[in-house]
Amino acid sequence: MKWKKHLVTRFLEAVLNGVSLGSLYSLIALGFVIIFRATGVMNFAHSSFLLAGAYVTATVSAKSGFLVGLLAGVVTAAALGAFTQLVILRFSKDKSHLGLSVLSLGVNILAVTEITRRIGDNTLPLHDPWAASVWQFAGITVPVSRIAALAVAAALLTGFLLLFRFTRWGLALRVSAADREVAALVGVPMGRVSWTSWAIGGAMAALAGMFLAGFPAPGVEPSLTNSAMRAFPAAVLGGLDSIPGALVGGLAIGIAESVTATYEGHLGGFGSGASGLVAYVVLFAVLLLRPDGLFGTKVVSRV
Amino acid sequence: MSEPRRRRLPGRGQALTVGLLVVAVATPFYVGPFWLQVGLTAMAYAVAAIGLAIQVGVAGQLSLAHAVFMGSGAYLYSFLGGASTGQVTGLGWPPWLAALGAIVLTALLGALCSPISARLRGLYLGVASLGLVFIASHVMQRFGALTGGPGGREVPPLRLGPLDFSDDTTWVIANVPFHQAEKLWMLGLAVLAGAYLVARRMVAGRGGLALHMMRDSEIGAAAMGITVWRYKASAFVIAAVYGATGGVLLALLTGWVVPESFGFDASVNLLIMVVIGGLGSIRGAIPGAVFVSALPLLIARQAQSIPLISGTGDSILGPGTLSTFLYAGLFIVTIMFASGGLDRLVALAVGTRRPQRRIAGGLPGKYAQEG
Amino acid sequence: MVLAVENLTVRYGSAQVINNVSLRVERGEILALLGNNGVGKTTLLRALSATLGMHGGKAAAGTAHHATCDLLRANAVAVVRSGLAHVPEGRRIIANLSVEENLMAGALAVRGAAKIAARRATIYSLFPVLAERARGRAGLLSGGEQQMLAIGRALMSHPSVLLLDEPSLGLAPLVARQIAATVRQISDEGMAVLLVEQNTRIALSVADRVAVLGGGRVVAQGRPKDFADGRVLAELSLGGRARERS
Repeated sequence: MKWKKHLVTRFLEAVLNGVSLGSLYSLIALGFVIIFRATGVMNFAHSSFLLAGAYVTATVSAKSGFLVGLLAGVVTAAALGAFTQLVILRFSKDKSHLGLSVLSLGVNILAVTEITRRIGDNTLPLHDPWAASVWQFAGITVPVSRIAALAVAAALLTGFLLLFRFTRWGLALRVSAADREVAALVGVPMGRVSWTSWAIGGAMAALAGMFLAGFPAPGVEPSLTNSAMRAFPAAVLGGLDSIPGALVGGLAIGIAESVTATYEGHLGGFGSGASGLVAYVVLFAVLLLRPDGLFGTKVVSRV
Repeated sequence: MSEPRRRRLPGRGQALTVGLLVVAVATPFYVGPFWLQVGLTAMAYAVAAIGLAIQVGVAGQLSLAHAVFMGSGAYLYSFLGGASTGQVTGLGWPPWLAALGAIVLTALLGALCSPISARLRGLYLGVASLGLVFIASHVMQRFGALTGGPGGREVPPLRLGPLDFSDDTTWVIANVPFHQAEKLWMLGLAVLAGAYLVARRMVAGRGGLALHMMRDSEIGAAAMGITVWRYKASAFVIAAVYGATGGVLLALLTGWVVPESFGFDASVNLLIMVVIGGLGSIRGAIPGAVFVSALPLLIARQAQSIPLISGTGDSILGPGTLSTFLYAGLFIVTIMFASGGLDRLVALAVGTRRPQRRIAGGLPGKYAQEG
Repeated sequence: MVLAVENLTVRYGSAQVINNVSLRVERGEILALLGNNGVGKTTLLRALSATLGMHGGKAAAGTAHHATCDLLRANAVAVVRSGLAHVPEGRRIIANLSVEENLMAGALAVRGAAKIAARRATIYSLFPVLAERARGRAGLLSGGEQQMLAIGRALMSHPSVLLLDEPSLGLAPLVARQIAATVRQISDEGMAVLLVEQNTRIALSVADRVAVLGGGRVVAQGRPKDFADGRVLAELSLGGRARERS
């Protein structure tokens, strides 16, 4: 009986951690989807926004305290996002969505290379208030940082859903995503919608990055970008242009990853580290069945 | 009357090509091992980059996983041709058969991607290809028996009948001793020339036209009677064959393969080569590959004389970082302002003009589509 | 004079689509722009609403002004703010949004919540059916209702010039006439309307003046009665279609 209880709590822990991790993936994926809806660009620079936010949070909070650091990180990532749109993408001669997406990959290389150079071989601690403390109830052990992540992500996601539904900015975004010509005809300031979307996407990535670098992760390292890479499938999984899709996709991948991480030890040598792959395995499975993602708009084309 | 005129334009190009070939053939007689190493690395990447240029530039299939094909070629060659030791297994095939097997099996891997690639359009495919990168690097790290794990495995030297490309024998040609590097130089040059000519023929032929049309509009291509999934699959297979060939060359010249050589960064570098070279251009991929692969080696060699860089490990700006800044910057500038890339420079030197192409933009002028 | 177009020439690449066209539309007046498919009517409207660039076109010569706004140089936001609204061909309502959201999209360039709410009330009284369906998905409306929604959306920005592209397209004759009557009513309240129509009969019945476009040029202008005899239009390159309809 004792063995059985252990099995259940272990699974529950995995799921709870997965929901928390997934909420962070949802946050990253949502920013990614906002940018895609507003500008049609698949933002390959998203992982650099995340890394930049986490890096600035860690360095500033070492001197000025965590809250100031967090604010600085979020603002930096938002500024990087706005910069990408206002200075790089806007002036590109190649305006095709594929061209601009590949361009964002160029921004990613530059930014990640620079931050990696600054971090060097170090691991920067976050100085976050919850540090390595854990919560225990009913035999389940969960890091406080994960609970905080879940709470913050849930609040942010709800906030953004409300913004989408009930504000003019949200309406402008939905109109530009649905029909760019109509958006122009009704006078949506497309330039402003574009760069604010990039800034918001960057800010959300920075927040998620801060939590991803917190306990049980050791701190800010260049490998943090791998976490952002796992949010790409989350966004694509749900259908790139779908807000609920980003939420469901993020949660699905977070839970799958956490459950795999709990049990990968049983899979032998080949299994260890498999949790990093699960996102893509899930993605392939879904895309084979539904090429436009779970909630994505089916593209109807005319010749 | 138009005959001599048509001949004159390629004439300058031919003269230049022959001149370059002569210089390339003569190079191992004159330069030292460092420059041979630089040239060989560039050749290996150039062969792989040509395949990516066909896949992304001609067929419009965004791939961030091209290094996986290189890795597949390199590891399979080492596995098929290598001997079993304590740590790794090998089949001990004759090297020529191992090289062939590595390329054919990688082509199969490319074909295996087709159920996914056939269902996905441009940007979705880009993200899906990222998955291939991560799965491949997991396999390279964890399948220790085949790959040697993170430490990598040894690459058997190549022998083609009487031609031995290892350091065991030394050829003496015109009083110049040919060691491994010099021999591989000649091999690489032959492979690159062959790869280039075949690619040019493929792109100029009916298949190439079909790939072009597919890039501009999949629906339009389908309406013209092109079996889109089959051409998509063939673009993947072509890319896989070129990638594997480049991978085998790279393995031969390094003598040891490790997973890092074929990860996400390597794939991105290949994409940079193709973009800098000028998307859609086969010949542009070669200078693109030379630039991106040679830059870090050259900067590392000149590190003492370049300010900002110190040679020690605690450097302000390492050679790798500096070269990444340079070619990533050039990559951004190319997309933003000069989508013709290095191909335009080649065109200026040769005296021909080709239509400027955008990554996904349609053909210019009357072929352009609305929307 | 509200809308003035002088010697306008428009190109798509090397193809000249509009050639030296001059038009004027006054306050409270409907100018019907007639012509076959492909003579450049839609292109002309796009040139005036700053959306030509999205289609790869370019105004190569001439001027177009609305009040003090230079329509060829201004961006889309400035054009809308100057009081020009364009109802595009095919209505282009956003199917996934509710009727009310579609309407509110028309006010995205307008500031002031109270002003927008008052405007919405006016439009609901003009098209009561939209008020009934306000919460429903716009994609579920009938063709005529969608056209009303498209016009209502355009009216949300308080325009003084309305560009209408084929409002009768695909509608039953009775519905098309209803829409035309509403357009007449809007115009009588002071709106300048530039109406592009294929349905000559309806166009002639509501218009104050008529201009016929052929091969990118204005080939004839006049009062509706000058074109009442179908043969006149037929000769002006409108082909057999005008004769059938009249």
